[in-house]
Amino acid sequence: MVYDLKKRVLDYFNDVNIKCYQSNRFCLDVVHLDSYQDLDEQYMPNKIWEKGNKNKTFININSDIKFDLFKYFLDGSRYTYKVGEMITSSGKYMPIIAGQVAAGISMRENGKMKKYSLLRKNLVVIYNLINDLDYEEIKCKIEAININNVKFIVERYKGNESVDRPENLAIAKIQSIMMELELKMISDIVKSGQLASDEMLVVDGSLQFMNKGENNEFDERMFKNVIGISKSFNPNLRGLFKDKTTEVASILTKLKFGQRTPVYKLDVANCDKIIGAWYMRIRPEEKVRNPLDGVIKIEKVAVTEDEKMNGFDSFIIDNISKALMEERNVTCYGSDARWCNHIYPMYLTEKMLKESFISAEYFMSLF
Amino acid sequence: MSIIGKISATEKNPTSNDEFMFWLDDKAEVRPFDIIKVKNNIGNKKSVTYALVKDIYHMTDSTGHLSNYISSDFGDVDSEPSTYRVGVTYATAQIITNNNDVYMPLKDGVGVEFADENEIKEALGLDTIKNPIPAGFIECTDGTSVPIALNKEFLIGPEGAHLNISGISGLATKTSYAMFLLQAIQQKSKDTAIIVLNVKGDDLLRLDKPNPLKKDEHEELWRKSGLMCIPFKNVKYFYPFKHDEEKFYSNTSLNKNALQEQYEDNSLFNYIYTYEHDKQNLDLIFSNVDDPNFTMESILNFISESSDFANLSWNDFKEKLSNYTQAGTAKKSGNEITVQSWRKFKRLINKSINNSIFQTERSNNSKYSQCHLSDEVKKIENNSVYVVDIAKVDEQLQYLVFGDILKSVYELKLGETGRNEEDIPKKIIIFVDELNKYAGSSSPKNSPILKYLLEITERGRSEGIVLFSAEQFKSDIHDRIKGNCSTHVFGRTNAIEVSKSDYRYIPKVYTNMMTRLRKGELIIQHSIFSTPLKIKFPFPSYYQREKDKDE
Repeated sequence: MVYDLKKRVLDYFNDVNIKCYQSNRFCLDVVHLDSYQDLDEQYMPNKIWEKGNKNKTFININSDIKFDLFKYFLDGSRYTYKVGEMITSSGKYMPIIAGQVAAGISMRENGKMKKYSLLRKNLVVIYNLINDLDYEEIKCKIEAININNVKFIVERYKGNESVDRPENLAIAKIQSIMMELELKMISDIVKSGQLASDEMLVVDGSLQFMNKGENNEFDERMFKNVIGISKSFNPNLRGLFKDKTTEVASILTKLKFGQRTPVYKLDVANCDKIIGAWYMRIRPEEKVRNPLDGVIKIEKVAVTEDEKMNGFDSFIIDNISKALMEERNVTCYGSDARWCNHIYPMYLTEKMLKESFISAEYFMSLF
Repeated sequence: MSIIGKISATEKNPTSNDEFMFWLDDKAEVRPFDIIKVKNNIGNKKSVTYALVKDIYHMTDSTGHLSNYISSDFGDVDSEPSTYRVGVTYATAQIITNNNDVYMPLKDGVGVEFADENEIKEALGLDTIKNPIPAGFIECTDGTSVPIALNKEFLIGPEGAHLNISGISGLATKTSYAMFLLQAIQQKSKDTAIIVLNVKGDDLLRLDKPNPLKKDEHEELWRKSGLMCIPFKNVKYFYPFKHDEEKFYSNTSLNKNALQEQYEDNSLFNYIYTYEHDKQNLDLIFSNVDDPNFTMESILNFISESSDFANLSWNDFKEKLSNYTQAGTAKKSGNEITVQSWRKFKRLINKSINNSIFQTERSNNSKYSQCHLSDEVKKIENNSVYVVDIAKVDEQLQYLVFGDILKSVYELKLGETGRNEEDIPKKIIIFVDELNKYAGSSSPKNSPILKYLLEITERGRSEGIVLFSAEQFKSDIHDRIKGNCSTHVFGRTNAIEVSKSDYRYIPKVYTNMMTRLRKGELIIQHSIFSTPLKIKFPFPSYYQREKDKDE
């Protein structure tokens, strides 16, 4: 199909008599703050999930030996835009949300970063409750558009708009598509046999995301050489310590540079996988502004039967922690406000994804 | 040819029809003055844009030094990062030309390559130069070496003329390069004569002898330039006369053996000045004397016109001057020049005319090899080289000799000698080092030498008189002289010099390069090249100095 240059994307809605308004277009990411990825997370009460360190609060991980265990770095990124509003035949007034999503892996060779793979999608997500035939027609027409190599994929968002704002439902849909991309990338890199115990993949953010998309089922064996690092985490989590009302942040403020906590077992809702998480401080506490600056959260999926039954091998966790300590330099100080909790290869991966996006002005002008 | 980088057009640094930036492959190396090429296709019109590398930068994503300090584990100098900061080396380039007349700016992402030898020739228009005069080589970082040539019509007229070389002394580059160009001119042109002034040592006093240090590879470079590695032909040497039998009556620092060879070859001459022949040139001695009230000029006019000063010898002249310096003589003789002025004149001139070049009359005895320099200059022939040694005479006399040469050349070219016009060389090139002495920016306005030099640089182009000059600091030279040179050559100089206004219109990167040039490297600006070029030139083909033998 040849794209009619005079037509914008939203005009295709009018083709099927869906009333559609090109309302005020804006980027939603500026308006909505993402919640913590681990907001609804719970720890198994007082469950230290590693073989050693059972009675320790903090473990020293300082090492003089240079460690490099990580070769691949994965991140996902998205921008969401409100591009219009539509009225369904049943009289609902719902937003049309567009998004750009990307997932990518960068690799490190001799200290230099390179692109390993990158997946990009431009999305238009519309409300679920419209006539299926109308939807198919709109989907077919919009997906045939090709403006200077910009193509779209149309998806539907569903959910209960009386509980959450429809914009958030649409964003959640876009987020889940991004996570699917990330999962696909993990699956592809694992299948290609690139990962090894000293050439691991670091995922930006929590590994629990695998549970949040529409792919509830994932093969835990994929995660043998994968860890997740979260720059920020819910400071109000409870349940790690004997005193059940103590929140995690109050203990972590005492965590010293070069120390980690033991691995705790996460209680992930609707998930039979065992995920262990620990915190460590990668910046000297006296050199940063906020008490939790420089504290990162690391997650690892239990893969072997032994790990599932008895917890992680403390030696492996120590080694991963030591290698992560080495990742603290160089920093993105000055370029990113979260520099204390960022590791540079991850920052570059994120940058690679952001650079692949079309500018917001151009993207929104297509609608 | 492989791509060494790609054009980078950004919001802040767009490409233009004049300049662009490109980022470089991590392994690529470029230097300022490298010539690069980029495809510039507009629709179906294909073309190649050539450019000269200017500034080269390296940047990272670090927002500041603090960021780097923190990234080094808060100032730990031993800290080794796991990941190197992402960084890019990029360069700016000045567009030289486009081979299909495209003036559109280059597009982002187009590959940049080194230009090869033929492409460099195309870029600089070397392939279309008529009457090329070889002028050295350009060397690019990728190892490409291209002989370049200047357009004869722009170097020695009639389109443009005059060459000026500046640079600090001690690297022997300025003189060597001038001699290389003169050698090229002698080989490529049959209607040119050359007059060289030797102002120091004996560097230029063996121009007709081959260089004992010459090696095969040197000869190869000469051949590559399109020239033979040979010394100058038809050279005559003119020394100040001195009563010194052992040195063939020459006042020079050249050694006895070399002088003997020249004497035996009949190429040695000792110039003298006699009162009758040269009294009208006495004004030249006062070239650097400020004469705001024109008293010196009045006295010189009086001398040349008064019968009282006719038919004298230098000694008579001195006596006569003594008479005029007696109190009360001015009124008696009826002239209006004060005794004080006569005394000043006498004081200034006495010092000079005590020199042995001032003789009563020329001797015909061949052992003295005496000659009048002006007469010899007026006899100069095509393809010959005159070397006039003024190194051992004092400054005032250097003015006299140089001025005498300029005046004689001018008279010759203006047809005042009665020589058949067809026999007179079409071009006479005068090479003088330390031009600042004769045409300094602070020279007295009525200096007769300055007057001749201005005449030559402003009108000599059409007369066929060409000035090749050299000096340490270009900023010291009279503006009108510099302004009339069509070719400028810059050797190594210092930071103070390049901060002067003469260098204002040369891009900073080139002036900075001037402070870092090595021996044998020069930057040349020539009318037909749209941009300055860094060049090298072959090893001198003539015998430069005595110590050469031992090296």
